[in-house]
Amino acid sequence: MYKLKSGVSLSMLIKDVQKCRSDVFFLSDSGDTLNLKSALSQFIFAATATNPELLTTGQIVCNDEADYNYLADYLVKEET
Amino acid sequence: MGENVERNLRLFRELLTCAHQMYFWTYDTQFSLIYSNCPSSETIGLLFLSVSENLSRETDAPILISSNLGFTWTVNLERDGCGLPLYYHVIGPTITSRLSFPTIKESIEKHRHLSPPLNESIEILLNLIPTVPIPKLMEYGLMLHYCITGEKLTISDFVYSETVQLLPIEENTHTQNPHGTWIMEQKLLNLITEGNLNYKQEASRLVIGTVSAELGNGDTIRHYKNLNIAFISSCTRAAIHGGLSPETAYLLSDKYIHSTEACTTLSEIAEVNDAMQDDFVHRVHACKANSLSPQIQQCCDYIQIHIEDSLTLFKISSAIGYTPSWLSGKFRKETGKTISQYIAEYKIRRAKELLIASNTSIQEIANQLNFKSQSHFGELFRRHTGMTPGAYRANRVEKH
Repeated sequence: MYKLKSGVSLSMLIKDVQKCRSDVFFLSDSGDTLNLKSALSQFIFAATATNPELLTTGQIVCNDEADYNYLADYLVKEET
Repeated sequence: MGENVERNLRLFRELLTCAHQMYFWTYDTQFSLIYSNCPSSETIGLLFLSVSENLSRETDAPILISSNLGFTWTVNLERDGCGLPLYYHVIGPTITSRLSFPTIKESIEKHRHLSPPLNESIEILLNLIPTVPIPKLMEYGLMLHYCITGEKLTISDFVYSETVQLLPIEENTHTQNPHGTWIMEQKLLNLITEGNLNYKQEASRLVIGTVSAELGNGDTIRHYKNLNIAFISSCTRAAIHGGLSPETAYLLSDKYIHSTEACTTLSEIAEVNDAMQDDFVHRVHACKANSLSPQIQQCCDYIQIHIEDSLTLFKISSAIGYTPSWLSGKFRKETGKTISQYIAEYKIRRAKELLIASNTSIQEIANQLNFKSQSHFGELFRRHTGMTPGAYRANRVEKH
């Protein structure tokens, strides 16, 4: 399970998500699913940044395993 | 960034934040952030990121870019000495009148079922974004362009970037519920109907004046004139509902429509709009507050609106549909003064405003207010105030 490191640049993250081969999702602890390649989801994702807890408790899920490498700088792996 | 440009931008940013809590951004050509005065730059900056790919690198003119969620930015490109793109200077995002906060939330909710914490976060984010009318934002864009290039442009030089579709188009154009502008407009019109003197405060988050339809056949000034005229008509009816006599309301409507037609800039249109709302609200408030009968209130309104015309008892009574003798008797009974006295008092009141707030000569003021001569004006003014117009002006200027 991958979570966001605290204090990462969200704009840089979104830029790098665009380079990923497949879709990348942010799953909030409250059950929201945001596809970070979609413009609307990016807006909603921006809103999560107003609540650091929401951001740090959420998970990042890549459809393509290789995409985790693109995002390695932003992610921390946690054992489930 | 050139030293002069940097100095200009620093001052401009300061000036900008005197008027609004506006956010200013500088990006390099890869849209990496170089500067922002936004305390939540990491969050708000993401909104621009989603629209930035639509920006043209070809034009040097100010660009207006917006998303169909209602966020708008103005962007100016700075080039280096060789003409290569160097920085994007951005003001925004702002929320214009297109979609209100509730409508934005509603639009999102149609597509996503969001958890309560995320809904709360969206509300927090929306509250960080200032509401600024498009004409105002465009004016700031022109000033920004001047700071960067030293070149003075006009609104017609703006380049409109294609609206970025954050929401699917079909959902955005066929809303089930009333358009956000309609809801906001009703709220503002209610403030007029109530004669609510705190309307500016109440309406500070409601900005009426634009709709998504193009109403000017490509002419921006015409577009906003048309919008203003339509809005004046709505305000006129709201004021009538609030108790203002239809005759007075329509006279005011005509006056403000003519003033709108005479405007040559968006700022002038905005000024007419402000004056119109203020006038209607105060008149409705006066109607509700005073004990004058509707006929005498209508008579007072007629005199105030036509104070610069030649006014006679016959003319006034004909205009409002009563006989001169009935009107003058009722006027005296209710106000304790004659119509002529009321006209004279109101002319002096208007003259005082002109003496203080303008550089208009005393002769011109006498002519404007239809006095027979400057000496007649002077004599009447002295009788009411105890001093000559010249002395009154000098006295007030000295005090301020």
